[in-house]
Amino acid sequence: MTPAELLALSATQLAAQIRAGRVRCVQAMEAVLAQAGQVQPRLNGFIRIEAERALSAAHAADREAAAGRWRGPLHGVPMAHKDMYYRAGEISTCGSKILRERPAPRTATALARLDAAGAIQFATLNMSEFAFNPTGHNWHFGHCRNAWHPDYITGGSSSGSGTTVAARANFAALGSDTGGSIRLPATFCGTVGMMATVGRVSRAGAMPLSHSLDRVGPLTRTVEDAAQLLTVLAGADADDPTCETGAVPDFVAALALPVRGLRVGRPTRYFYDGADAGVLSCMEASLDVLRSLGATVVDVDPPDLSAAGAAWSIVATSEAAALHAKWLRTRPQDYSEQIRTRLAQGLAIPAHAYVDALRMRGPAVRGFCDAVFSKCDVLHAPVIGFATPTITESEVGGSPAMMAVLGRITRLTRPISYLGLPALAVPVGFQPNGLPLAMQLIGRAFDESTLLALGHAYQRATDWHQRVPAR
Amino acid sequence: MRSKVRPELVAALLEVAGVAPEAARADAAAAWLEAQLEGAQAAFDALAFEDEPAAFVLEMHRQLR
Repeated sequence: MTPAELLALSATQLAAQIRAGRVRCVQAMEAVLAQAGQVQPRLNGFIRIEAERALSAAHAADREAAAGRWRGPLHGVPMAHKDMYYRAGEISTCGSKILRERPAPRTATALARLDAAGAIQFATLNMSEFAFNPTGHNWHFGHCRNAWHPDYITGGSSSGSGTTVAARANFAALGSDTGGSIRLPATFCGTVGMMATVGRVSRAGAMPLSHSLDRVGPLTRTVEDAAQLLTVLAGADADDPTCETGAVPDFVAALALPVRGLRVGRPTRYFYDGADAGVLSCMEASLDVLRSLGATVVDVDPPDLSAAGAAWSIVATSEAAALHAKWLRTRPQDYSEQIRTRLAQGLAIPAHAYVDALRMRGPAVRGFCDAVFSKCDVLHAPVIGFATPTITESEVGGSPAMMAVLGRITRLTRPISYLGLPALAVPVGFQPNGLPLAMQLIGRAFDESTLLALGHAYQRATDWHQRVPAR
Repeated sequence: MRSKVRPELVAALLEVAGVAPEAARADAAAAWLEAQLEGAQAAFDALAFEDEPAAFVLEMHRQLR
């Protein structure tokens, strides 16, 4: 198998090839390291590449395989992750200057579970500073660039996760989503992004931004890969008190669930307000595919989500400001202007508004689910309503225009983050500017299985996920 | 009607936190904060007296059933 053929495999396909003895772990690692080195000058998706250590681990994985010892379903699969997942004693920069030299205090549960499943981490990935920016700009490590066209944003904050997976320089990546940071890079870069229900995946050892809203999840090339990674990642963790303790479904097995007869909701308000024609046509075409698979598309009328979006801003910014208050006081010069400005805004939010925004969460999710999921099984919506901006267009720094520009980008993702529901971003085509676009499939609480089944069926009927950016 | 968020208030709260007021661009921060508060105010006003933050977790479990 040539390096190009190898890099064209999904993570689960590669794992199967390794298991069958057709590909060696070292072969896969050498191919991905070469590709990473090739794309890095153009995309700036990596922060640190650990080639020697990764090759050593790949050799060890080959020896284990030869002895018939398989670590797990991802044995030997190379991966790189957003640089906010701690590994004890190593630096996790979190895209910041402030944490550039601090050794991490522990290993993230998500990394430990991927290690146990056999995945081999070869690098850490660029990200927005402290995961608090939806475009992928980073003023400390350099802006991350879109694999489909380097003039365009990757989306953030999991910027390197999106662009390296899209560029076939990474088989899968951890991202994190507080207000859209998995789904936005997924749509802008043309990858799959899985944000599971609040509590489904442990956040222990992942950099906190907003304790009430942070979620850990993967960006992958296929829905099948997302199911495999979620199966590895999900489940109770004594180190994360918010983690659900119930049984975790087999998400890989769930891919085979029938989609015929599923009711797919098309929202009649909020999600399509002011949407571009290019977005509308991609979304309608994706609904046609779902109809052809036997799903029934029904109009649904969700509650207005503007208040949920505002409540998200109050919660996220208050909690982020609390986490950063000491450094805002003692090291303000070490933040980029944009992040410092946004964090400092949180110091002015009245405490009663923060508490009300949390009090509102229960009634809000009840009202949304009653209105939507009484009519459908899955809500289908765009991730973004307009064409991908360029890096220059969205370079707003800390200017007065900043909040309007950033708020517009997260308008369709923030409310779902606030509601705590699961959402799966799946590529559905290309915009007139040649950049990819995704749908987000939004489900009932803890019903990731239906989203994955529907997304997988969609990918079996289409080839958007197999398109590769020009090199 | 609730009074406007004044930039001087934002600056004062930053001072209370020990942060230089210019860190937040008080004018822009006041406008942003006011927009968020106004955006959520009607929903906040509709909350029942007994609604509490922990109800969110209960609601997610109710959805699971």
